[in-house]
Amino acid sequence: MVQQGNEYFRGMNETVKRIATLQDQSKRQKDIIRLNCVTDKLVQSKVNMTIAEQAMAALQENIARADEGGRTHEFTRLTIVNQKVTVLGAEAENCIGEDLSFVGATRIDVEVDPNLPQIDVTSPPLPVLPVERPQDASLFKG
Amino acid sequence: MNRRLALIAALMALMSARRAAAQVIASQGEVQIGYQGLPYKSTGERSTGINVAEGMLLHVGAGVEAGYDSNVFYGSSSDPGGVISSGIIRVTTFGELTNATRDVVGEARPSVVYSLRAGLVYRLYTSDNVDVEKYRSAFMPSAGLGLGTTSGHWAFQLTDSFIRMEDPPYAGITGSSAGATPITRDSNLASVQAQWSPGGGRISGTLRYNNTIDVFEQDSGFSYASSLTNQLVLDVSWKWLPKTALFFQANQSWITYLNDTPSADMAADLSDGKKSSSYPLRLFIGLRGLITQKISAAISLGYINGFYSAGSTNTGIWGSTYADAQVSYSPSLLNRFTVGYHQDIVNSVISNFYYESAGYASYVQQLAGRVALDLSARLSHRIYEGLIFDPTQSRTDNTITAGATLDYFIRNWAYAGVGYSLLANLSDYHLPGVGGEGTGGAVDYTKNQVFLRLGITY
Repeated sequence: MVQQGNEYFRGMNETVKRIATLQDQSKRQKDIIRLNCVTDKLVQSKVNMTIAEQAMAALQENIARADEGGRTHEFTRLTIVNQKVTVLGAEAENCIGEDLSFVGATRIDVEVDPNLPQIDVTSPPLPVLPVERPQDASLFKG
Repeated sequence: MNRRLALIAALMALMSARRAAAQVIASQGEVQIGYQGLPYKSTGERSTGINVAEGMLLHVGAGVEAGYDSNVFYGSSSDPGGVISSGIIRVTTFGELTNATRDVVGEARPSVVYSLRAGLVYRLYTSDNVDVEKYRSAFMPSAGLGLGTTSGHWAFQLTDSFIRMEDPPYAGITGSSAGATPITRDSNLASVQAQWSPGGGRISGTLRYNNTIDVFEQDSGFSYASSLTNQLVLDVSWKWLPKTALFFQANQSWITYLNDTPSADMAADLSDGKKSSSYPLRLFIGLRGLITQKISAAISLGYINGFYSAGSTNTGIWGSTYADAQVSYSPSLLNRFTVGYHQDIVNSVISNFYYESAGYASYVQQLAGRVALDLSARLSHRIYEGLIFDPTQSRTDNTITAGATLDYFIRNWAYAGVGYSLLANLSDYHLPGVGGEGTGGAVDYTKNQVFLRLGITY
């Protein structure tokens, strides 16, 4: 149980380090949106690490006292905290910043049905020459 | 929409329309009604043209139509000897120089598009009838120029087209009548246009100036009606769908006559023989473009006033109403069916104007890029107002125009086909001072023409 608790502890430490690395990257990239997100995950992770440290200490104490109930309780706390930190680590990895939210200049792709007429059918029609033969109206020739 | 492509298409349409106009009787928007002239190019063909220089194509063509004309002089069957028929041969040649590329839908297009066209039609009546022989031969040249460019939100277009028409006179003045000469008409239409389409082109404004010189040659029988028309058109449209626009158009014309003063001989007979200048104004709103993917429409309704300086002018709500409705259904790229109705007042050669109510239909079909079928017909009901030679009389005509052509393209540059043309006029009018019922003076006629057509175009 202590050995399992120590493994949890190592895993949580690595997760917190990874989140701290992501925080540094965000600072270097001056990506404030991602930095806020990662920092939030890091703070929560550190709080959980503090809880985990307390649970680990209490676990060892309960083992020394041969307190079976207390030992199980502290191990359960440690397991839950480990799961929370794991989730926070995954959320930190998924934090997105400006580089992903800014998709570049707007580009419009227009798909025109090839069956539609290619000329602009909304333009005013072209003028036409008067070529109709005039009707007969007189024998007089002008 | 690629505006440059639109410009090229518009210019090409204009130039090809000019060639067809030599024989087409009526035009409704983009739809040609009546017998269609020889084809400009194979259906859907883009690979023709001789490459004479970098980005410059020369299109050439020649064709012959041989057939039968049932009524050379547009005579009435109710008049004795009024109908004279003849064989007819027409030879057509044309050339066009353009920088519009063969691949119209490609990306590389010139910034300035131009097109120069010239054509010549020779018509021969083969009959040995003494009356027909006087009008046996006729040469009818045509020419056109188109120039267009786009710059940012602006598009500019300059076009000019000229055509000379020569046709035998009416039956009443053939035969032994002294000085009978053909009806010869020279018409030139120049147009300059600026179009502004800001932003994505949802709103578009077009300002166009048209100048038409319409000259009936001396002794043609209608030289008093030679005219000069200046026209200003303002069209504002709003595309509420990508291919559909609501529009408003204001259209003001100034029509004056070149021979305002009749000759000394005419003066005695034509106390009211002068044509009246007029300033027709049309204001209308409407819709143009696609209703669905396969149905397009051009619908407009508005006000018209002829503003004639003398004589009759249009009156009443119905007489002041301009209406146009045209619906086309295209089940595929290879066929199109169109029906339409048009109500207007039209400046007339033989009167101040006539009220026109016309219905028409057209069907075009292409088959396998080889066969082109064109069927069309138009019925026009015309009420003449202010007859020049008979101002106290009324006149109502019903004119029928129909045409059918079927061409088969043996190669993409050679074709053979058949054609049929019907022109008919049913009128309640008789020429003043001439005969009576069944004894001359009737102005109704029926003219049938059939042709075999053969030609090359490249």
